[in-house]
Amino acid sequence: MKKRTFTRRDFLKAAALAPLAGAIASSGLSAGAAGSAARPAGAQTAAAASKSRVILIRDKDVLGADRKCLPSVMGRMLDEAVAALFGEKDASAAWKRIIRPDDTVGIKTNVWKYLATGPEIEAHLKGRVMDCGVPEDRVGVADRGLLNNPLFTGATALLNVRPARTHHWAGMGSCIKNMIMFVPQPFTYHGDSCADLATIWELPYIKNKVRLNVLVLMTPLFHGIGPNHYSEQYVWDYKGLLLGQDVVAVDSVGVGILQAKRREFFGEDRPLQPPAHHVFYADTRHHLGTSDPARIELIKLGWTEGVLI
Amino acid sequence: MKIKIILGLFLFGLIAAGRGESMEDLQKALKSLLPAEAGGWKAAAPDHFYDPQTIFDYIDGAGEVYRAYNFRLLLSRRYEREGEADLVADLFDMGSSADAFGVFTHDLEGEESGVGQGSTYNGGLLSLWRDRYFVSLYAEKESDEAKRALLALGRAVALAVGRDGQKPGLLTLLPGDFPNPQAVHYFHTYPILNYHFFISPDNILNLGPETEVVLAARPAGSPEAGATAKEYILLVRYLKPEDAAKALASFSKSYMPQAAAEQGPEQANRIAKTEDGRWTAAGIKRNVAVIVFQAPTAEEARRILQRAVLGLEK
Repeated sequence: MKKRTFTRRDFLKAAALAPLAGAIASSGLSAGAAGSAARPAGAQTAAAASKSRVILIRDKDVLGADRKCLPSVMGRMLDEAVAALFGEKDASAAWKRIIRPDDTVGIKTNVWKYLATGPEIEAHLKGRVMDCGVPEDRVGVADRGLLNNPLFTGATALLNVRPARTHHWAGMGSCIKNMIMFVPQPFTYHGDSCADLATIWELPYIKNKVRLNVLVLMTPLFHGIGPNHYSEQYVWDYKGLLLGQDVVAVDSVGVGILQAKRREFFGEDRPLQPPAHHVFYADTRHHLGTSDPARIELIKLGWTEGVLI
Repeated sequence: MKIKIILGLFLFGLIAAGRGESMEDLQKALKSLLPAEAGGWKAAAPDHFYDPQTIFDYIDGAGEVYRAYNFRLLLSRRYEREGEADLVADLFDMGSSADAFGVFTHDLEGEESGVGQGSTYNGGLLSLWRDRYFVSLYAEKESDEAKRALLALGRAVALAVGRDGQKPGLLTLLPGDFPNPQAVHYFHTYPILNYHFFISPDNILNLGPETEVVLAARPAGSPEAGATAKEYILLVRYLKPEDAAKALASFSKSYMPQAAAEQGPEQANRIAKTEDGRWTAAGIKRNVAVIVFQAPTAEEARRILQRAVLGLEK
């Protein structure tokens, strides 16, 4: 059968039905399978009927001077969110649902010079993994050089954590995209504005190993300028974290928040440039998870002012 | 992939050699354009050079933008001043003034600063172009003093370039309905088109490095369309008239199939109402395709299209 060409007009049709993030998912193309809360992120075996749970947690006191995270507040947010994600009363029980003492754990972070994940979050995640009985020498935290790092090439579990930001070529620096450093030549995935980044998640180093995705929205970048794609005037103190096991669901909620901020800031509907279609193709084309808001259970915790979604 | 990179470097070397310029010549030329200091900020060694194969080591995905405009070499230099955040100068040799202008039009946000042949200042970023060079000057923390230094740097580079370059000739074919230079983009490829105005993830207009494209916008001019609504005109110059005809057929089939079927393949101009209640009209003249997007009425779409096509006949 001949491949159908998708155009702007399909977006226009979909916009009337699903004005936010699920535009492509509800456009009549094949819908992706939903990931369930208790399975590895991106699992293709998830029951179609279940919703993907995503936790949005915010705390107005999490940032101190110079917008640095206060570790105690950040730690409390992560613990509360992980517990809520797995429906456990305390974080310790929740972490034991995804990390075993015999795991080798790679924490894939992001060190982009203008907006990095930050040591506070990395340290807390590492500490919680070790609390599950994993010795320190089997926990790695890195962004670059993963293919030469035995804690990542030999990982049995991965945690995926990065800040949310717009991206010059992919539309959004997403949790899906964060795994690009498992590829020897990342630019080989740049075709059609990184449309098929989700295929990275089929690589043996990654497939079925990601236990948790954390999209950091402390000071997200909602618009970029110039070759370095950064300006302080386009970050804001959102003071939030998005967590989930379905990476597509986490990213599609993140896209929605960035778009809502752009609408608020620019006073008009100004879509991401280029569109972050890799997030939606991860659903409709590659079935890595769901981007359909109707199939995402979004649980909001904490500070609600300016939540935007 | 290694073979591709080696081949790319080889081709780059051949192109540079064809112009009588070695890599060393290009590097020297770029270095000569940047001053050693500006406004109290001093150059911090070492300089870094990036070519189309290595640019991703520096700016990852954004590198695709400069590659889409055929850039040849980038010199990146940091300037430091005690107690202040760094300034970053990125100086691109784009190979032609048309592409230097084009990459400048990729991001037109900001205020005109009167530097070079065109410039914008926005949030600590001064962008400008002159002749075949595109220049990005960035303050890692914005301040009045940093802005003064960026402007001084920009003026120094523009002065060192020494001569103006020609803008792309295709711009002269834009109808007068689209007079705002802050809303005109020049490029070659469909990912850049989609960046400014998404049409399709597929290359339904058969765009490529050899095609020249101008996209211009203006307010839609009707209350029904909304206060911020825009209408667009797209001009694409192909190498040959038959390429333009093929591209229009491809576009019509994917984007306005009903109009293509109803109005027949022999009809040069086509018009269709899209799902947002606006109008798209398309036509060709010789090797140039013209498409109007998001016109508030059918009459408006036809009027702009006809005016553009008439302009092509001159």
